[in-house]
Amino acid sequence: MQNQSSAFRTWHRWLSLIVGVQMLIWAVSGAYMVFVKLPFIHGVHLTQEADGVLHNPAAGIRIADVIATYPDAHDVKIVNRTIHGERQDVAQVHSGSDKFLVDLRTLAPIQLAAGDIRALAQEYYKKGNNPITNVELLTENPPTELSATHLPIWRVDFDDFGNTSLYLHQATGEMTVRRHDFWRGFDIMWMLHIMDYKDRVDITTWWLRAFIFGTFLFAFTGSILVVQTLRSNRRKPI
Amino acid sequence: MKFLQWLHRWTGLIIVLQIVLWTISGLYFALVDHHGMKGHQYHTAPQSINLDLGHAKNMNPSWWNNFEEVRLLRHELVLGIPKLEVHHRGGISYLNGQTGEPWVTSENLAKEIALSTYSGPGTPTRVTPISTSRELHDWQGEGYQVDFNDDLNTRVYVDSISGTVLDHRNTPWVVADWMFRLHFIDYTGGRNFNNLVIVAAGAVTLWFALSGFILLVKLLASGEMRFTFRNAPLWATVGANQHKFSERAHKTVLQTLQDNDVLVESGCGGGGSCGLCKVTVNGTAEITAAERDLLSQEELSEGIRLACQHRIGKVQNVEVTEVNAQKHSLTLVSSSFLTPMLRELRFLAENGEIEYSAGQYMQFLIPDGITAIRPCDIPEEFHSNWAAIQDGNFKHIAVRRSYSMATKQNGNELVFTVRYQPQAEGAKAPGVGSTYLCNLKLGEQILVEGPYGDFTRMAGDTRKLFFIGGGAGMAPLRALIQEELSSKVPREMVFYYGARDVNELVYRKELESIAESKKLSFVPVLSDALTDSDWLGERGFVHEQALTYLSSVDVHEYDFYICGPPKMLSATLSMLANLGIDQSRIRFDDFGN
Repeated sequence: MQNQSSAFRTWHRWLSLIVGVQMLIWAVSGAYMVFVKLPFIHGVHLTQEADGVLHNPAAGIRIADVIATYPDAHDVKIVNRTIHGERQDVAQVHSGSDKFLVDLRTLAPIQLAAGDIRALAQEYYKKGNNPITNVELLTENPPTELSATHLPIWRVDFDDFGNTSLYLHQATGEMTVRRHDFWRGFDIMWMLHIMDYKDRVDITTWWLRAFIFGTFLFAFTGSILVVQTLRSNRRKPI
Repeated sequence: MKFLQWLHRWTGLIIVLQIVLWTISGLYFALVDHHGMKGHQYHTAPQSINLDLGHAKNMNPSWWNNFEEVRLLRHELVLGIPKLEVHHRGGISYLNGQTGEPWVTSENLAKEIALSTYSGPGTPTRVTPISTSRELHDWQGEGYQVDFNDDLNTRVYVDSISGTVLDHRNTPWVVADWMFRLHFIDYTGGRNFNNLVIVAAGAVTLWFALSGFILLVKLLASGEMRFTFRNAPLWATVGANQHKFSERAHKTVLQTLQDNDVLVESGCGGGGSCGLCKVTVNGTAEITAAERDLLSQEELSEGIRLACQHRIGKVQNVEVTEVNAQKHSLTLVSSSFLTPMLRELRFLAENGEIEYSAGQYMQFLIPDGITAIRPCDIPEEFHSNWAAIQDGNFKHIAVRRSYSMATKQNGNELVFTVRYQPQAEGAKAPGVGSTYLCNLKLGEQILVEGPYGDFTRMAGDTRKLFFIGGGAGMAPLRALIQEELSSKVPREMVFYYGARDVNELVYRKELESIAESKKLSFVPVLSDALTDSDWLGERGFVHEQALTYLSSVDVHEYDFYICGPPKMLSATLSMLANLGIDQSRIRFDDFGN
C-alpha cells in the first residue's frame, strides 16, 4: 500500500508543463535528425565531381612560371575545369588568404562571370536537367543557411524538389556549400534541439542548461511513478 | 486515455535509461561547448610558407607521366621540403618534390610536422609508428602518434604517406568521445547518429513524448492542474472521528487526507488508475472517466468516489473507511471439509489478537509455487463430487486473494471458509488461492493483510437485520449474526440462505440452534433438491423466497446484508430495488465466494 506518493505525481505534472514540452521538442527534432541520413542532409547526392582529366599533365612544369608571376603563392594546383565555355587546364593559386585561377598560357588571373558559374553548376548538379532559376554573387547579408565566412560566394538556385541551392567559390568556381529543404529542415530541428534560436550555434545557453537539469527531475519523478504503478496490485483480483 | 497511459508507462520504462544517458551527455555538451570537445585546445594552423622558385624549376614531368588519368597536380611545402600531390586513376600519390620519389615521413619529420600544428606548452616526448588507432575511427595506413607532455596529454597523429597531420587528441577529447557514444548510441566510435539502434530508440522516444504530451493536454483541458493560493476546508469522517482540514483549494481529497496523516489506500499515487482510494462523498460530486472505469454502478450511486479525482474546492465532506490494515502471520490449526467443496480453515494469529468487525475480510498473500490439484484428505462421503477432478500438480504465480472472516472477533483465532474452485472449462488451472489454501497443512504459516472492507453492521436500535446469502457467502453473514448476538440487546434477524442441495447447507445445525432461541429466523432454500428427497423446507431461488417473505412484512423496518455468488447477488439487488428499498439500507459483499 502506498500512502505518500501523490507528491511525485504533482511534481511530474507541473514539470511536464515546462520541461515536458521541451522534451517533446527534443524527441521530435532528435527523431528527424536520426531518421534522415546525414549524407543526404549534406546533399552528397546532389552533386558530383566536375573537374576533368588534365589535357596535358606535362603542364605541371608551368607551376614554376606561376610561382615566378605570383611569388606569394604557397599552394598551387593544376586542374581541368570548364571556363569560358571550354574545358582547359588551369592553375589554382593560394596566395595569402586569397584563392584564384590562373590561365596557364598567359599566366593572367581568370575572372569568372555568371555564365561560367551557371555552366559549372550544371556540371556539378547530379539531379538531371532541372532549370536554374537564379545565379547571383553574394557579397553581404548572407542567407541564414550560409555562414558569413564564406562570403563573397556565388549562389545558384535550382527549380527542383527540395529547392536546391549550390554555392560556388567566388574566384575558383569550386563546389563549396550545398543546401536543400531537408538541410533547411535539419537546421530548424538543430535550432530547436540546442535551443539557440538566434545563431543556432551556441550550445551553452543558461536556459538550455536549466532545462537539462529540469529533465533530470522530470525523469526521476516519472521513474518513481512507473515503478509505483507497476508494483501496485489491484486489491481484489478476480 | 487508458491506452495513452499504458503507452506512456511502457515506452517510458523501456527508454528511461537512455533518456537519462541523453540528458547526462547533453548536459556535458552544454557545459563544455564545441571547442572543449574537439581536442584542438593546443591546435593551430601551420604557417603557410611561400613556394620556392628553385624547387619548382627542379620538378620534372617524367615523375608523374607514368600515372594514368591525372586530374590534379598540387605543389606545396612541408617544413621547407617541396611536396607534389598527384590525383590519378589509382588514387592519390605523394612525391618528394626534390627527387620525384614517393614521399617518406621519418620519425623526426613526423615530430616536426606535429609541432607545426601545436601551440601548447608541452614538448614531444615520444613518436610511435602506428597503422590504426582507436582514436581515429576511419583511418588506417602508415603513420605516427606523437605524444606531448602537456596537461591535456595531447597526442598528434601524422599520416606518413601524405606528410600531413591527421588530428589532435587529448584527455578531454576522450571524455567527449564517450559522451558522443552515449548520445548517439554508437559504441563503435563512429559518431553515426543514423544507426539502427538510435533509430529504434528515437521511435520509442517519439511515442513516449507524444503520449505524454497528449496526456498533458487532456489534463490541462480537464482543469485538474488548476493552482490557487486560496484555502478550502475538507470535513472528513474517519471511522468514528470527525476532522476538519484546511488546505489549498487545488489539492485533491487524497492529497489532503494523506497530508493530514489519514491513511487512504492508493496504489498509483493519485493517477486514477488503481481504483483504491475510495471515499464516500456527502453531497454531490461529478463522476470522472476514471471512476466510470474503476467503480461499479452501485458504488457510484452510493456516492463512492475516488479521492484522487476530486479537489477540495469542489468536494468538501467525505467519509473515509478507517484503515488499520497490517500484515499478519497466521498458523493453520485445523482444516476440514464442511461440504463437498467447502473447507473451514482455522488459524491462530502469531502476534495475538487482531481487531476486526464482523463482515470484514483478509487478503491472503498466496506465494508462487507448485500445488496439488486434489487435497489428500477428501472424506469418503464426498468422493463422488471429486470424481471428475484429476490428480496432479500445477504451477502458479504469487497472487492475493480475499476471504471474509467466518466468525466474529474471537481472540487470536481466525476462521475462514474456502470454496474450492475446480478448473473451469477453458482455464489452464484450478483456482490458485482456493487450491493452495485447501492444500495447506496443519502448522503451516501464511501471510495475510487486513482487515479490509465495509460490509459491517449498520447502526440503529430499532432496525431489523435481513441477511440473504448463498454458497460461501455464509462466512461474513455468520460473523455478522454472531456479532449481533453478542451485543447487549440483539435486534431481530432473518437469514435466507440458498444452497444447491442439503449437502451444501453449511453450518446448518449451528444456525438452527440459534433459531430455536427465537433470536434468528433461519430459512434455508435449496435450488437443486431432488423432488423425491425428504427435504421439507423451501425450494427454488433464495431471492424469490425472500421476496415472498418480504411481501408480507414492512420492508422499511429492515437493513439488508447480502453476500453470495454473482448471479444471486445481482438478482437479489434488483429484487430489492423493485421493492423500493433505499440504497443506503443495503450492504453487500461480492467477494464472499
